[in-house]
Amino acid sequence: MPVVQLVPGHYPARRAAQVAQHYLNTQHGSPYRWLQVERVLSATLEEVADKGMKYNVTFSVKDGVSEKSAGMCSAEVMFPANEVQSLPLQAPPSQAPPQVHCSCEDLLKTNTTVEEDALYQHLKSNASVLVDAQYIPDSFGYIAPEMRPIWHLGGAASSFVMLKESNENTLYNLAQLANVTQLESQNDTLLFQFHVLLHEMVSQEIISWKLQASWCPAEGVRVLSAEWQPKCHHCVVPPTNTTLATTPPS
Amino acid sequence: MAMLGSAGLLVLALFLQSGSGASYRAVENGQQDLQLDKYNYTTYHPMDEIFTWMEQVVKANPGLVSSQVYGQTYEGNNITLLKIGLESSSRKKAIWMDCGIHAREWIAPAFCQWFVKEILRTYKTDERLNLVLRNVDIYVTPVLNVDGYRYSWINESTRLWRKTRSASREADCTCYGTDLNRNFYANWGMVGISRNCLQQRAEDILCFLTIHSYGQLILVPYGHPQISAPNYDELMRVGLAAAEAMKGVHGMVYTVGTSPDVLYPNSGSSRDWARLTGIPFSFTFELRDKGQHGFRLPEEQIGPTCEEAYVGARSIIGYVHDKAFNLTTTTATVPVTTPSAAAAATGALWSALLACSLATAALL
Repeated sequence: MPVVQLVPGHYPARRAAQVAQHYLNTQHGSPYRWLQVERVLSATLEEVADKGMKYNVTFSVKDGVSEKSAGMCSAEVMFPANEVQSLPLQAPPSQAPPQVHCSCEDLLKTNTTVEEDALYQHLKSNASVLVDAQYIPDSFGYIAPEMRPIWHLGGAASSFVMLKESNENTLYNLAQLANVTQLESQNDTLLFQFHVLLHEMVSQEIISWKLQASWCPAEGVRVLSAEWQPKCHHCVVPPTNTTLATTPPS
Repeated sequence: MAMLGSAGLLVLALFLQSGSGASYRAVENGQQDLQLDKYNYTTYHPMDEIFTWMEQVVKANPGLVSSQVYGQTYEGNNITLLKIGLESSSRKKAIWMDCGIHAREWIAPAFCQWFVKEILRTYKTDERLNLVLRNVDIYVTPVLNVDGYRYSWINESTRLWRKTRSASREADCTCYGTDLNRNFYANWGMVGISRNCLQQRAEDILCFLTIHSYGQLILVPYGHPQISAPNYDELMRVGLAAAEAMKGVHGMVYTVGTSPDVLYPNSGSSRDWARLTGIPFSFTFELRDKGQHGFRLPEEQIGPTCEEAYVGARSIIGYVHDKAFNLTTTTATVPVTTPSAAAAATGALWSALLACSLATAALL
C-alpha cells in the first residue's frame, strides 16, 4: 500500500499523535513534566503487509505543568495487524499494544531536577504521613497546589495503561485520579497506588483502572501492576423510586 | 405516546404564539436569595440556581426575555428555554442554541448563561446585535438534559454521567440512560406524527448551535461519512471564520470539520438532525480543552472559554443574520452564496420537527 498523506487536523492523525503522547509520558513523565500534544503538523499512513498500520506524525508538544512549549517531535506509531478491538463495556481483551518510536527536539530543555529532588526528599522523609488523597481534580476542576505534582505523576502512570490499550479506534485521556495512596516502600523508590478514571473519547466511556506505580528521580515513573476495574463496582443506584432500578452495586 | 403528543403540542404552542405576540410565562416569585447583578458567571452552578437565574433574567428584562417550558424529562423536571428578542411588527426568524445535552459537560450550561449575559449587556450599545434582535428571536436552552445534569451534581461518583436518567428494563447497571446526541434521528418516526400540525413557520430557523465539550472543535454536518451537506463548503467557511475569530481572543486553536473527519463517525446527533430538517446552518461547538482536564475544566477557565466561544457564536450569528436579511456580510472572508435548492426543499416542517423531537428525546 502506498504512503497516504493524512490531513493533520483529522482524527486518524490526532489519535496516532495521542498514542505518541502517552509513549512520551511513559518515558519522560514525572511530577514536574506532563507532555501534551499541542498541534499535529503532518501525518502519513502506510499499511505494512503482515505488520500493521504505520503512522508517521510530526507534532508540537507543550508541557502541561509549565504550560510552555516543549518543542517538536516526530513519531512512528505502528498498530499491529489483527488487533482485537477493545470493548470498554467488557474486560479489555488482550491486544498487542502499539509500537512507538519517537524523537523530539528540545524536549527536556526544562530542567526539573531541583523540584523533583525536593519532592522526593519530602515524600521520602515524611514516611509517617504518606500521601492519601482522592478526587484529583474535584468536580469543579480544582486541584490543591500541593497535589498538582501527584496529579502529574498519576497522569504519567496512566499513560502506561493508555498506551497499552490504544488502537486505531481509541483516544484516551485521564479524567481523574479517583484515589491515590502512597505505600510504604522497602527501597529508595516511592510507591503509589492509584485508582484512575480514563475517558475514551470514541466510545465516550469512563474506564477505571487500579495501578501500582513507583517513582524516583533517577528511574522515573514505572508501573508495576495494572488492574482493570469492572464498571459495575462503581455504579450507583439512582436516588429515585423507580421500579426499574438496577441491582445495587456489590 | 399520549405524553409525546401533549409535550409536542406544548412546544408547538410556543412557536405558534411567537408570531402573534402572545404573552409568555411571567415570573413573579423568583427566589430573592440569588441576585442577578451579583451572579457569578465564572463558577459552575447547580440546576436550581440556573432555574432561579433564568427566572430573574426574565423578570429583569421585560419585553426582551421570556421563558417557556417546552417539555418534561423522564424524571418530571421542566425543560425550559429563554427567548431573547426585541419586538417587531414583521415575522421574525429564529436562532436556536442548546447546552447541557450531556450532563458531565459542565462548561456548556456555563456558556449558555454567559451568552445570554453578554447579549443583555451589549445589545443597547452594539448596533449590529440590536438589529439582530429586532429581526431574530434567539432561543437558548441552558440545560437540555436536566435529569442528567442534576445527577452529575450529586457527588464525585456521579460527576461523569453523560446520558439522561431514563431507566432500562435490563437488569444491568450500564443500561441506564439514553444518549440524547445519538438518538435524534432514531426519534424521527415518532416525530412524524406531528407533521401536519404546523407548517407556517417553515424555513424560519436560521441557525442551530449545540454546545458541548471537550476537544476544541467546531463540527459541521454530517456525522455519517458518506453524506455531505449540500452547503458543506459554506458551512466550512462560516465555521473557519468563527474559529479564526475565536483564536484571536486567547490564541486557542479550534479545529473545524465534520465529525467523521475530525472526531469520529456518528449518527443521531442534534446537529445532523437539525441540518436534515432543513435548517441551513447547524454547528456543534466542542469547547475547551483538548483533554488535559477534559470534563473537569477548572473554573478559572470558564471566563476565557466563554469569551472565545461567544465571539465564535457571534461570528456565526452575524453571518446567518446578514445573509437572511440581504445585508453585506460583516465577515468579509466569507462570501454570501444562495441557499441550495435541496436545503430550501427540505426546509418545510422544521419547526414541528424541532419542537416535537426535542420533547420526544427528553421523554425517553
